[in-house]
Amino acid sequence: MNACIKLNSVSFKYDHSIVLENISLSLHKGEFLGLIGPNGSGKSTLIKLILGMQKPMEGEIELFDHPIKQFKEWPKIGYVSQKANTFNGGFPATVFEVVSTGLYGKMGIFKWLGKYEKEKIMEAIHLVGLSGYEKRNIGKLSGGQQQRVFIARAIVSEPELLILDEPTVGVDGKSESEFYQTLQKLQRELHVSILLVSHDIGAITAHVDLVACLNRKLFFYGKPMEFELNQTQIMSELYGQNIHVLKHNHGGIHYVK
Amino acid sequence: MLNDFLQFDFLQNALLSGIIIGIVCPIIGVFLVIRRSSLIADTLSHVTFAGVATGLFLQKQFSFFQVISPVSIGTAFSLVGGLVIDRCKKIFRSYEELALPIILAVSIGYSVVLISLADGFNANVYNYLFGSLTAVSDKDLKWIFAIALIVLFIILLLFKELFFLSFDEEAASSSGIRVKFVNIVFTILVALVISISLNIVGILLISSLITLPAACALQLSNSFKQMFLYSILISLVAIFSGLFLSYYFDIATGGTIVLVLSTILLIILLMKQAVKKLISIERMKVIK
Repeated sequence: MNACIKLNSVSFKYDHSIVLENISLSLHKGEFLGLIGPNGSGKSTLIKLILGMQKPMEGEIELFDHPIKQFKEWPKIGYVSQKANTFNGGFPATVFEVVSTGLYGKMGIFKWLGKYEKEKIMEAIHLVGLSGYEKRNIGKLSGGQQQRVFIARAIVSEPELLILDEPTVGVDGKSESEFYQTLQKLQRELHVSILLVSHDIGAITAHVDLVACLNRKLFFYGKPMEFELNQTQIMSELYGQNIHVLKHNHGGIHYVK
Repeated sequence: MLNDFLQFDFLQNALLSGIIIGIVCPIIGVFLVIRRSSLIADTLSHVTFAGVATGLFLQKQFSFFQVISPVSIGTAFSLVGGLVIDRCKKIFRSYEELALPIILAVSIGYSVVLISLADGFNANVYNYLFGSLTAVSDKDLKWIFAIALIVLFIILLLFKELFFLSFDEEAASSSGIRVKFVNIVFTILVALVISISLNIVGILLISSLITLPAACALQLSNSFKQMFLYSILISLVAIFSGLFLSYYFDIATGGTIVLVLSTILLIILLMKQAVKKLISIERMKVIK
């Protein structure tokens, strides 16, 4: 099976402190990987390494079976950054204009949007359930709707891999549930591989095919079922202290020290 | 009065260059305002002044420099200044905005020293600082037209990249947009627009002509395209009325244009407040 992402013994340092140590994992076509870990565990750094924004000190990264140094097909990757939620709300841009930016990398320099591109944009807006909102100013939408605009922007170039860095921060429960439904729809209908970084362990394990637990090192990498069977031990190792798992009737999970 | 504008060459030149500047300045301004980089225009206009002061000083000291226009030396300074700003931003990293006041201060200091060495202030320097209706010659007009065409052409080519960078630089970078290249080209465009605007509005007021129409349009726009249209429209209205008023009342052109723009901004802000108040009164009526 082809790997969209393959990390082989990757390590990274900021100045003298080790942020990532000997990380190996892979994500294959059509899979949904949830990456969890506490604050400062290196999750965002790992994403930056995968996106080529930082270079690893040791180890190799392959994207779509190419070493990252030789990888040129960046439009194959859609990315929703952590900062997407904190964009300038007063920015004078419509939903259509924001989603269209997702095509710019693929179109290349000195080219304009044509009929085909405009149709693709409308399709992406429709896919995230925002038809009819094309001409609305993005700053005037709710947090959940804005989140879907950024997903539409990430999928408009028909990426084979979608990377989302803590996309549900600051989004209410209802919008979060809609968000996971949208992701599953993308995985099902477009066969997109997804890498989702989140704090929300309960929500992640309910929706993904693979779980990776990171806190500088990789503490767990496997199926959600295996994770759930050993989660007290994994979480204790991950957070470096004894953790007890509390489950609610409505399916939520809480971790207490 | 309209007859005068049709009859006198210098007024026609002022009007035509006003139209050109009235289009390019707000286009650059929209990108600067939404990127929260309005101070770049101010800084580069002062760097341009340092170049103009150098030109005037050299003209006074060496007759050879009479053939070189101080504005072209100003333009060269502005182009280099744009690249220096880019470099300094990297040096200061998280405090990158510091690069602007530092370069602005150095430019003013340098210009003042040069003016004093050239034996003080003269009418030429005054025109460059505050602009003049009579300052646009036929040769200047051709230069302004050519540079404006180049600027518009490049903006058209890089429009989508500039929009993406303004909205989300990180996402633009990760999608393969050449951020560094586009940023450098844009800084060069700002420098060029400043160099062609200084005859009419003057170095001290150029940044207002770049940022004020965009600030007005920002209050009214729902989309990025609307912001462009409104800012160009507002800028042209201000330049036309500013030129006519300054000629009719014999007052400074640049200052008049900027005051018209400020008045437009004030009216827009007051109208927005009034509309908000009306809406809340209507809502209260519905609740009652």
